[in-house]
Amino acid sequence: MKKTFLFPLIALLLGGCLPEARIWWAPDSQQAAVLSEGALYLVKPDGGLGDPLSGGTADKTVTPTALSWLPDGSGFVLCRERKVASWEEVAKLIPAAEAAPIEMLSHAMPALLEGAGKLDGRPTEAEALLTSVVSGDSGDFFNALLLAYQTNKPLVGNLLRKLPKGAELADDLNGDSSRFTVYEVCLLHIKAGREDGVPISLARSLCAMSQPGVSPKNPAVAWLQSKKKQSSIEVATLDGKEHLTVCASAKPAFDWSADGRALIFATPVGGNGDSLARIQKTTVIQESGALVESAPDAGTPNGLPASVEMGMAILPDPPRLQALPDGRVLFSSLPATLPAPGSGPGIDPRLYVLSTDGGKIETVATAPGALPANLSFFTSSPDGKLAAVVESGNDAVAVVDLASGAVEVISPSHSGWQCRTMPAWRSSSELSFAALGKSGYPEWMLWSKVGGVHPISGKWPARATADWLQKEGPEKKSPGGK
Amino acid sequence: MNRKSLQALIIDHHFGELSPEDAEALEARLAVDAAAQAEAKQILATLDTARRAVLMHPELVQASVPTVERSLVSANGNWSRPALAAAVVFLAALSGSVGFWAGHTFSPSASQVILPPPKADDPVENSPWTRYRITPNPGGAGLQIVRLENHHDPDNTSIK
Repeated sequence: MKKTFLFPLIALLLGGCLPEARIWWAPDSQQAAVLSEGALYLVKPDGGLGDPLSGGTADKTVTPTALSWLPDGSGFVLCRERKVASWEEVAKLIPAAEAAPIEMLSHAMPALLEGAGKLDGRPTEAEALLTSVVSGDSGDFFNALLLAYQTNKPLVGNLLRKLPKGAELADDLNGDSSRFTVYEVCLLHIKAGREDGVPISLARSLCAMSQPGVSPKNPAVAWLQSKKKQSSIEVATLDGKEHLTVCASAKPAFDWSADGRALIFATPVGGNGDSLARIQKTTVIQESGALVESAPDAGTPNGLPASVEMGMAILPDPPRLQALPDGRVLFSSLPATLPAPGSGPGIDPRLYVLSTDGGKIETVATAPGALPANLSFFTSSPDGKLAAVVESGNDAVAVVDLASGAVEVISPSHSGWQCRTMPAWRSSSELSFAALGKSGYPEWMLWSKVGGVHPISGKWPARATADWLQKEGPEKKSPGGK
Repeated sequence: MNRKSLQALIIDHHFGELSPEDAEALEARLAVDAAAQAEAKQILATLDTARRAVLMHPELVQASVPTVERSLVSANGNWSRPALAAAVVFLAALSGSVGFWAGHTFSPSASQVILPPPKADDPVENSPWTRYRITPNPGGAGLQIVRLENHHDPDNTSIK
């Protein structure tokens, strides 16, 4: 059976600009951490933007990307990227097992460059083999090239310039790409609205780290680590002493179970790009609070306790699944029965709720067409009764009642504007999101069933939320020309 | 014999993939052709460097071969074909993917076409969401997703 599902096609159509998480409410709902213009702020509704957090997060060589609050609100776990000029410094920061292959490959780089120039393209007889072998990681390749270039600029530069578009690459290695990127997961404590001490590093890598999620009940954090177009799910204790790879090849989405001991995630049935995926749950924290230990006799590839198979579904790209407080799992999927007549299953994805034991799947009874075609961008309320939905194709925001399937558009679409910010629930009845304000520029809004919608970023400079939505077309609307 | 064919033969010969007759013919050619000899020397030097890198650090290639369970390096230290392919990937990356590194470009294969809104097949009249329609690809085989224009009444916010 040939799987020709349309989610991947839609993902291609939509390109790379997608709604991103920029708002994280503290557990007490009184303040939120927000990302604005690449800096991290702690803000209160209707308050000023204030100064960005220092302690490394406001450093221009460091870019915070995502965070997850500790359950008691005393701080958060932050993912950030650090630009590092020298390999010597990089090698001190990352695990030796990651640095060694890069150094080795950099030694081989001059010969590889020379060989590439000579070979004039792929040897034809190797093509069949190449299709069955996954390429080496492009990130490793680039880091090794940059290291080789920094080690011997004249030689590597000359070899590069002999390759197609190699001169551009050589220029890039002197300019925008002249630094290594080190990714980091760190713990930052907060006191009286400011950081309390310096960030405590929990893990560093040359692989991209994203979507940190602190366990709601235990001192541990999980995150995605991406390499070679595949994502692994990692977990570490908040003291940084224990670390576990839960799944080496997962779809880039996960959530903690309500008891904070298990991770719910999806793995592709076929290759990494397969939209057909198994949804499963793996216990990663023991009752004692320690991480589970890998045991050779566990009978699983990674030695961890066997996963509970919860279901199988066609997931969107990017996928999304969320654990609800009652133990069920909310996810989006494209219903499809094959074989199907005509051009195959239509594009009408739905939200589904998977029972705790995986024995039952219920469809959220939304009307046909009431949800976006690319149903990747939803977030459930803390009580699990509502879900906010946006899409990347326009700037509308809707709230779905997960019990009845009723959909209410709380912010309409505006011609030419597209959402680039994930909504964030302040509480189970209050949702914050980005929308066009009366000024005609993006603002941070708060909605509630009773109070309707009103802006809460009125005291911020307009540029702070300028990129929370995006104006379609070549000419971007910019507030005040800033 | 063109350059690519020569390169292919040299690589196959290196891994013992040529028949005795072909190997003999190639060796005869290399013996009398200085340019081909230089080509062979260059290719073998490159492969040897990569081979040593793979031998010392198999994780360099991380050859994920879903259907072929073979080790990168055989018991006698020879390089296996998957490892060869993985190493050639590096060469291909160098000669074929430089543009990506230089430009960081991405070309979606699905086209974005604005069409008039549908009249009969729209199940929810007031949905604000972007609509798509599946149509045959006019440029050839396969399907394409086309984007439809939305006409949503912002005053009507309930879509169920």
